[in-house]
Amino acid sequence: MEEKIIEIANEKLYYSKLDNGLEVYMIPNNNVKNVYATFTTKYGSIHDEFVPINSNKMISVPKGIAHFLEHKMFEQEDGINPFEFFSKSGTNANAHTALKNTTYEFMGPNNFIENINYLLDYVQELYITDDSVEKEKGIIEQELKMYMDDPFWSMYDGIRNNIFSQNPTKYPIGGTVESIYKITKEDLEKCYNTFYNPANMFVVITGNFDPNITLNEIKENQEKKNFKPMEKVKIKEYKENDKVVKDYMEIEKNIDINKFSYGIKINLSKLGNISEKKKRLYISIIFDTLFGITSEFYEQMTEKNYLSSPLGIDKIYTDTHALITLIGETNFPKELFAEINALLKNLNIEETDLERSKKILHSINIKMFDNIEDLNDTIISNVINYGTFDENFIKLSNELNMDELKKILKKLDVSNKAIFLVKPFENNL
Amino acid sequence: MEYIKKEYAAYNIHVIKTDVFKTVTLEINFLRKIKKEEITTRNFLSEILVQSSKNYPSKRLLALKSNDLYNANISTQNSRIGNFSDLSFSLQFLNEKYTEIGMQKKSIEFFFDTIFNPNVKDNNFDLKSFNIVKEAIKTEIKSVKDNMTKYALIKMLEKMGKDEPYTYIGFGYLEDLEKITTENLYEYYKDILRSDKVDIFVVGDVDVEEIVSLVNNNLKINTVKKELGNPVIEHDKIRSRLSKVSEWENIIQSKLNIGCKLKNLSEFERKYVLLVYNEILGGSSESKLFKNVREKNSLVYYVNSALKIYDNLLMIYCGLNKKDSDKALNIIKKEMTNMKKGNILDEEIKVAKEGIITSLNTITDSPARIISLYFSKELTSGDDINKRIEMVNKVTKEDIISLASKIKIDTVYLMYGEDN
Repeated sequence: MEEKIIEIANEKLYYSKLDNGLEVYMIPNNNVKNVYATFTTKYGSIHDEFVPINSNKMISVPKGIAHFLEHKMFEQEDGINPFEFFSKSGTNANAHTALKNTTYEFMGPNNFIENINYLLDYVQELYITDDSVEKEKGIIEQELKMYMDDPFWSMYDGIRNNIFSQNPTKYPIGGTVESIYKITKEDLEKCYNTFYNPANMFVVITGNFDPNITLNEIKENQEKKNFKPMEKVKIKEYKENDKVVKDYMEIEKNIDINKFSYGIKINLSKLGNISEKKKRLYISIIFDTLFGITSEFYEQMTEKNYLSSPLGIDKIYTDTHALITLIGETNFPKELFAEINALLKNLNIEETDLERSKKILHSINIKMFDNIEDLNDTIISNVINYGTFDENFIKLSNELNMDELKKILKKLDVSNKAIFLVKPFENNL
Repeated sequence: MEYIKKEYAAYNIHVIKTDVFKTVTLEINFLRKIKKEEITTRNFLSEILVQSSKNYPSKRLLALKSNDLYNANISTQNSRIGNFSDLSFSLQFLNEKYTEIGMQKKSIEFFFDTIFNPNVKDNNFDLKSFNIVKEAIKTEIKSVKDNMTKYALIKMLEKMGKDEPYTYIGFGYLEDLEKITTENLYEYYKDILRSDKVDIFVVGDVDVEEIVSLVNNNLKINTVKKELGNPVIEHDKIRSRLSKVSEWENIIQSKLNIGCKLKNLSEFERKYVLLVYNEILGGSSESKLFKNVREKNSLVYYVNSALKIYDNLLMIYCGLNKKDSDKALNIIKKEMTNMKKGNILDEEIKVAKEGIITSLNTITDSPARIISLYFSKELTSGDDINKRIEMVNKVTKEDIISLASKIKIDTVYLMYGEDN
C-alpha cells in the first residue's frame, strides 16, 4: 500500500491497486465519527455503444440503461435488499448514476467492516428476473416524470442536446420514458458483466476507519471471488464537430420567470499541450472571473436589471470538448444575451484575478477535509476525469501562472454557442 | 468538545470549542414572534445587508473582500421555527493555521461590519442596492413553482389553516414587497436590533476568551431583551372529517399530499415517540410507505412522511400518475391504520431507533448541525445528545400505538396534471 502525505492540509492518502485491478483510495479522519465509503464503476449514461465482454462486436443498448441497472442492484437473491441490510446498523445507503460513472455508497459510524464487505458483495452480484425488470419500469417512469416538471432539469438536458451532435453526453442520464420500457434483462446483464469488472472499478473511503485493517478486508473479500481478467472496455469513439447542433431554442413550462442557459462549446485539443487538469482549472478561473459574482459584468447586469442574482456557471467535459454553461433567470433575455456576446468578444483576465482565484482554490481544497462527503466526491471526480487522484492536488493551484493563462486565453475559441430558454406558458402571463 | 455560554443582557454568546474542523463557523440569529406581514420585509433586510455595506458598497466589492480573506464566506437565511421567525447570518473561514496570522480577527470584523455598518444614508438604505434586492426578492417569490413537490406542499398547508404560521409562504408576498421603502426598511432594521432575541454561535478550534472579546467588541446591540415564550404551535380545532382538495396545474407528474394534525401530545411524545413513528411510517427506504407504495406497487419513485415538530404537523407526500392517486391513498391510509392497530414488527422499531440514534451520534461531525443542536437547546431547553439517545431508546410499541391515535388526517391534497 502506498502512503502519501497531503501537504498543507496535513492529511494522509492511502492507495492500493489489487491483483484483480480494483483500486482503493483512503483518507482517514479520526476526528469525526462517521465513515463514508463509495464503490464506483467507470460506467455511466454515455457508455451505450461498446464491445461487451466475451464478444468482439460493437453493440448499442437503449438509453438510460446504466441508471436502470443502478436501480436493479438493490434487489438481491436472498430477498434481503441492501437498504434493509444497512439500516439494521443505522447506516444510510444510496447510489447515483452520472454521465461517466455509477456510484454505490454507504455512510454510518457502526458496523464498518461488515458494511464494507457487504458493499463489495452486493454490487458484485447481479440478481434480476424478467418480472423484477418489468416492475422497476413504473418506478423509473415516475422518477423521470419528476425531473420533467423541473425547469432547470429540462434546461440541463436541453442545452446538452443542442450542443453535442454525436457524443452521448447529448442524452438524458436516465433515458426517456420510451427508452426505458425497451430495456430487457439480457441488456442489463450484458452491461453489468462488461462494466462491473473490478478492473473497471474503484473504492474510496473517507472518515473514521483504520486503513490497514480495511485494505486487508477488501483484499480478502476480492480474493474469494473469481473475475475474468479484462482489458479496457472498448467503447465507441465519436467524431464530435466543433459546431453546435442548434444555436437557439425555447420551450414553455409552468413557471413565472424565464430561465436560460447559455452554452459555450470549446475544443480542448486546441488549447495547447498543458495537462488536462490545468486546462480545466484555467477554464474555470476564466469563466468565474468574467461572469461570476466578482465580475464587473455581473455588477453592470444587476444595475441594468437584466439579472438579480449571480449566474450559475456549470462545466461538463467530454474527451474532446468542454461545455461551459451560464445559467440564470432574467426578464430581459435578448438584451442579456447581447451583453454576453459582447463580453465574449473581449476576453481579458488580470494578474490580480488569478491571485484571487488561487486563494479561493486553496480555501476550497482545505475546507473540503471538514466534510467527508465532499472529500470523497472530489476523489471520485478526479479518478473519473483524470484517471487517478494524487497527493499533489492542492499544490497544483500554486503552479498556475499568468503566462500559461494568457496562452490559453489567446487560443480559446468561444464562437460556438447555443442558447436554451425556458419561458412561462403564454397564458401564465 | 467544550461548550461555553456567556449571557449578557442584550445577547448570548455560545462557543463550541472543538479541534475537529479546519474551519471556524460563526452564526448570529435574530429571533422574534412571526408576523405574516413581516416575512417579506425580513427577507428583504437579510438580502440587502449582504448586498452591500458602507465600506463595501456593492455585492462585487463585498465578494472581492471575502475572496481576499481566503474565501471567508458570508451567507444569510430566513426560516420559521413554529411561532418564531429566525433571521440568521453566518460566516465560515479557514482556521488561520491554514492561511495567515490575523485572518481570524479580520474575517470576524468584516462579518460584523457587513451586518452592523449597512449602506445607509440619512436613514435610508442605498437606493441602488435596494432596487437590485427588490428585483431578486420578486424573482424568488415568482419562482415558487420551480420545485413542484415543494409548491404542492405549500398549497396543502394553506388549506390546513386560516392564519396559523404554517400557512405562511416563506418566500414572501408580492403585495407586501410593494410597500417596502428604503426608509421603512431601515426602521425595521433598527427595530430588529432593539427588539429581537440575539444568539451568537461559534464552532471551531478557537481561543474562547479571544473570540468572546472579538464578538463583544464588534457587536453593536445593547438593549435588554424579553423572553419569547414557546415556539410550539398547538391546534385548537381538529376537523372531524378530513377535507379533500384537488387542483389542476400544467404538470406532468401529479402530487398527492396528506396533511395530519397532532393534538394533545406530551413532550416525550412530540420529541421522541413521534420520531420513531415517522421513521417507521415513511422516514426511510425501510419504511412501510416506501415498501408498499413504491416497492410492491411501483406507483411512485418517492414517497415520504416528514415532521414539522414545532408545528405539530406530519406530512406525507408522493409523485405519481393521476390515475393511481386513489390506489396510493388507500395504501397510505391502510399503513396508518396498521400503525394504530399496532401491526408493527419489533424489528421495525429497532431499525427506526438505530437510524435516529446514528443521526444523533453524528451531529458533532458538522458545524451546522452542532449549532442547530445548541440553538434548539436555547429555544426549548432541549435535551443534549446523550439524553436524547436515552429517551429514543425508551420508546415502546405501546407508546407508538397510543401516539398513532392522536395523529389525524386533516387534508388530502391532490395537485394533478394530465396522465399520458
